[in-house]
Amino acid sequence: MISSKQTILNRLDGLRSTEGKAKPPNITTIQKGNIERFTEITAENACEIAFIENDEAALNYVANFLLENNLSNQAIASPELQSRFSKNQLDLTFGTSQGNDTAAISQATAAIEDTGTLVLSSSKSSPTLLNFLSDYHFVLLSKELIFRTKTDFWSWHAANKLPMPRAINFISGPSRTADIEQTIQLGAHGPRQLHILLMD
Amino acid sequence: MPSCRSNDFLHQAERALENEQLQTALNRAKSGFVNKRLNAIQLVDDFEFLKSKAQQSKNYALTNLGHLLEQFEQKVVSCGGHIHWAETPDQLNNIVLSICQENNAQRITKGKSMISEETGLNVFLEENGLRLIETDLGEYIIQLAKEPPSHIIAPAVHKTRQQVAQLFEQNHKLGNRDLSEITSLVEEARQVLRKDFISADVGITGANVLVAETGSVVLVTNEGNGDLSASWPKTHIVTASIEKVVATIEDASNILDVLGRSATGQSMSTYTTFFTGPKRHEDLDGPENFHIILLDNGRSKLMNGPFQDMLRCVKCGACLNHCPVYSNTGGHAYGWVYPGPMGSVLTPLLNGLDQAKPLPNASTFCGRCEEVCPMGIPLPSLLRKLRQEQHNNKLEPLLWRMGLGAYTLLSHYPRLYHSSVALGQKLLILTKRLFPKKSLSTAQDTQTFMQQWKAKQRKAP
Repeated sequence: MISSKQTILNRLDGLRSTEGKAKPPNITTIQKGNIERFTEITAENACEIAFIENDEAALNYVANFLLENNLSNQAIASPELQSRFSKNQLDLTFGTSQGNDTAAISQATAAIEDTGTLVLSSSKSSPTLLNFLSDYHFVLLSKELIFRTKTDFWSWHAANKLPMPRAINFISGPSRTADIEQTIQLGAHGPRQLHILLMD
Repeated sequence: MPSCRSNDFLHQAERALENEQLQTALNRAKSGFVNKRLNAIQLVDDFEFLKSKAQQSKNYALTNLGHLLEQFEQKVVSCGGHIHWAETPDQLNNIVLSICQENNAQRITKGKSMISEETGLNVFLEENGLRLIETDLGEYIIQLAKEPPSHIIAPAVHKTRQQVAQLFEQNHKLGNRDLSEITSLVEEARQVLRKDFISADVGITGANVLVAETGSVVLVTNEGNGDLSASWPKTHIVTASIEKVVATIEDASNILDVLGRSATGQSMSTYTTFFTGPKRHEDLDGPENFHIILLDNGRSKLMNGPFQDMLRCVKCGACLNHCPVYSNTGGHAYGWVYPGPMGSVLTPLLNGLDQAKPLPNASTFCGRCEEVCPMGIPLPSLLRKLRQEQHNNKLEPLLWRMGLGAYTLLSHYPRLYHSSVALGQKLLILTKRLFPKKSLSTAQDTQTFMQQWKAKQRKAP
């Protein structure tokens, strides 16, 4: 019996050439993004954005936010931040979300200026579910990792020979839906708010 | 595959026009998508350039489809994932079922997938005793209403907030509460579905693009439901059709550049994720099993034929949003999974010309669909080709064919044509006199256009 695969491929036979466009290797220069423009676009995407001096200030930012909003003083953070975060007024745990976290803190791999997008890559020290299961998501981002376009990000990714992780999340704002009467509502299934903490 | 009721388009369209709630919902939606798209493309220096890059990427992929699918399979396998090939909808459904059974799965969460709509996957899995919850808010609403989607990216666009509130009251046993605001509806769905997300054994999602060079699946959503379905359960199953594959990440980026702008008017949707393989050994989350099912369902037969252009479709929905027919009838009138102009082309191609006879005519041929299609699909001319094939296969109603035959004959003999028109005119006037209450004709003149013209010519010096 011929397998489904063979039947499909047989029908596509003659379409197995590699002709067409010759693909030149992508040797464009990698363009960095404009920080001011990035903050403008992320604000249009309904993100909160703050300039933060150091890791300690980042923790204080989260703690203040929770206090001001009468929320419990707990947060879960990406394990890669464990060595950077010292004792603080926050009740911090490190790991991945079990679905009931108010606040989560992650580190962005990079960001993209022209669409106001954060890039987060999964790894053993950067779990994916933190990006989706918390109510309030705080993402640390180094200014120098903002690229101009998606293409610049991917060129940088290739130039540094970074492997493809299980998941690369491009995140352009808090979770949203317009499925009822085309009215945009934030906080559909993922975070209700996305805070970008910009650092040097 | 869900049954195709497209042959009843005319009656379904009539009923849609008389349905007041549907008309309210459609009128509310009317300019929303159109204006958002316009704003988004005005923010780009040269949207036509982005369109041409996306089309080039897709055309290259289609000319090399077999090769790219094999490359994609090799990459997925080398990352630890599994590929399954399904020629028919039944095969896809059975593959999903056997994966669920192998993993002793009981509970499934599902992100939006038009391919699974095409195969009727939900009904099939439920019949086999599995509990499946749609998690895209729009899909969830229509799952509760037991209806098919009426729009490819806004499945519940035909529902008013009152209808959604009613569905939630009937299905969520949460006592007395105020559901009059959209905010409270969204919040309730969040609370209810969160429990399903974190108890699911299997997550099923669609795919917007497949990348051959890396073996990645690209998924675009706004709610984050696709990512939760893909990253929480132990098993992630992707249902995708074969023409979704492109060669490189750059090609995928070219398509993403036009997809969000054309669909929801976003330069990039809130969440775009590249999934590559299952959970790595030391990862703290992610699925242990990563399966991709590639569905053909007649697409490979369209390659190298007169309808190949249709395979460029990226399912953005812009042609629906700009269609004067869709905007008035909504999606259900079209009788199958895909509505609007792209549905009028795809439905007869995937189900058979005789299964969707009225659809190639469900168009005013105004051409807006082609104008807004980011992939440059010549929808009106594809509809015309379908009409031609219908005619060649003698699929139109007998009266229609006789009328066309008579017209062809008359148009060969101008004198016969003019005297028949004059006769017709007289008949119309006569019937109007005999049945004054019936509005049979609006003709006010007693002479035909040609008769009046000739009279005028004679009078002129």
